Amino acid sequence: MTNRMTSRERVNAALNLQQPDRVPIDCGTIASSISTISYAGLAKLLGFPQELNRSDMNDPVNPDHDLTPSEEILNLLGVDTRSVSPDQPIDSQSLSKTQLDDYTYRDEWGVVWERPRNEVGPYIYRQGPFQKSGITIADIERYAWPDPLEPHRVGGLKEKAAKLHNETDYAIVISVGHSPIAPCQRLRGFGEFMEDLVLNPKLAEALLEKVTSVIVESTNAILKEAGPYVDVVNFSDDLGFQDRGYFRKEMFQKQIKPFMAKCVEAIHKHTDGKAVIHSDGSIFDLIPDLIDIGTDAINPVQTTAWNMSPDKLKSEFGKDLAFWGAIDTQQALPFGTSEDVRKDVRNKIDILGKGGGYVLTSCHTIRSEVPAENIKAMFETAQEYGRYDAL
Amino acid sequence: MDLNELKEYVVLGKSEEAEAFTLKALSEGMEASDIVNNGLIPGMDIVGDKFENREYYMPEMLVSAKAMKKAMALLKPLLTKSGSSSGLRAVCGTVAGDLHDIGVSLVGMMLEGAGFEVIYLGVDKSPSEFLESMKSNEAHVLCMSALLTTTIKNMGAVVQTAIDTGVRDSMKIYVGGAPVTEKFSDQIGADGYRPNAGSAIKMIKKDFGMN
Repeated sequence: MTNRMTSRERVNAALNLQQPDRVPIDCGTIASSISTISYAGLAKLLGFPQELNRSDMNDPVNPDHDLTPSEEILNLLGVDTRSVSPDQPIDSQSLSKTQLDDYTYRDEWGVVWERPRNEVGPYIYRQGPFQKSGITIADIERYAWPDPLEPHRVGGLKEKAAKLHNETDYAIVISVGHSPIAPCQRLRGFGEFMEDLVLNPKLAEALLEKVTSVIVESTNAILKEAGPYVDVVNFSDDLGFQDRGYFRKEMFQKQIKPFMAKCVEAIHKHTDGKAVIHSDGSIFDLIPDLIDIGTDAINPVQTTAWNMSPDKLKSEFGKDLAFWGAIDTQQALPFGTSEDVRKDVRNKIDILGKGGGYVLTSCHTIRSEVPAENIKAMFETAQEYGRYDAL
Repeated sequence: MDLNELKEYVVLGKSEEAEAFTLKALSEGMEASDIVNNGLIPGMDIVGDKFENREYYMPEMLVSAKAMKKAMALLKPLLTKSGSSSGLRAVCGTVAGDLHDIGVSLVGMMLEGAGFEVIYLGVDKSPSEFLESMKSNEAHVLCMSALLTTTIKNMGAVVQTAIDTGVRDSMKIYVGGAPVTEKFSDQIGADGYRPNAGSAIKMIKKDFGMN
């Protein structure tokens, strides 16, 4: 059967809560990448051994990082999205980081990131500039914050985005980085920031305020260039653990939501594209507030987290929200058989894809423990089973 | 002085009040172990219940644990030679390849609040590092955490190394973290898994005959 829609039409229909010709498929745009080691296995399986010689496959200080599959492989997998990004975003893994040694770097915000020594693994943040006792609001105000308005940050972005928009039919996705919670946690310390919300709410507010202003300025600058050409604008944060949200609903509404609202507002001001928020974890209780501030879709839809069953999500929120993600990276993809993966894909399509409103991808980066056969099974099944006229 | 007041300070996360109360109680001749057993431990029991019931989330948990730790810092030097009110010691850490530690730190704090002496080993630890710490600290409990699916296999390696070196029966091993399940815990031969710190401490206390 031939496709009746272009990739862009397909993704936009889904995000407009309409039913496209088939469930759109994403890879590599919103926390949905494949990492170096698992990509090597996939490339070999699909018959592209030359991919192993890519220059980004052998980075000695970052041996297991996210990457974008080749165009040939993306087409084979049926991927409807392509991403565009500024060269030097205000981001923890931007080019402006300072590598301190093979295992450690400092990012533009001044946060130190480390990767494990005992085994190859991803970098995570370990120490922030405000992660000590005695920090005051004055310290936050006089800190040397990264400047989001430096012209080089968006140099060439307009041309890149316009080219993709004009010369391809893919849905173009741009990330504007993080919304305020993650940077605050990195700058102040995960536990410390949580404690501030209870014990020192004015300090937490001052930090959120400052971080949000940097993010909003950065978003404005990015979308001034790329806004007319993108279909999806994503920002990332994490609002939940495996078994609960980070915050009680009341705390989220009072102390966090106003700042996330500013980030979403900045998106809608500068583009007709849809705002997709990434948040891992159990966030069911917070979703009405995310809808309220203008979120169009949530990602990654971690259905293995507590109270995140796809049935409940679809019935409760499906009329207001699209879903982007949902293919299980905690059990099925890494530890299941290929048939387990196929079952998961069919199940998610049946439930979340009913009537449209679903873009399918993995629930997080596909990492080294995922067998190549399972990755192949995921994308094959998504293409075969996702046709609405066959369901 | 009524130790229920200290219990309340812990439940409400009032660090300064907990510290001040503890100083006053000590100066009035109250035994450190009494303050721990009848003030701090009951307080953290309530906190654990509230966390399990999702009345408390992480911010409230951390603030209560902070109050407990502030009081405990004054009491620890005065407890028995074992450094705890129960005589039990636990090593807590994150497995090799993984640098996430907030969850296991919380478990450690809850164990302290239950009367254990806790050794926070850190992150990215190999089997030999875990077992060496268990040996040198003469610890009874090993709590391991992993957040990444790539690293949970290293939990199995620790259990296996304990078996191979003949020390498995001398300790209880518990596992936790987002990708961990009860099935996985059973598969690798650990002694237990729970999805949150509150219920984990209940399980551990039960295993050691503590009420």
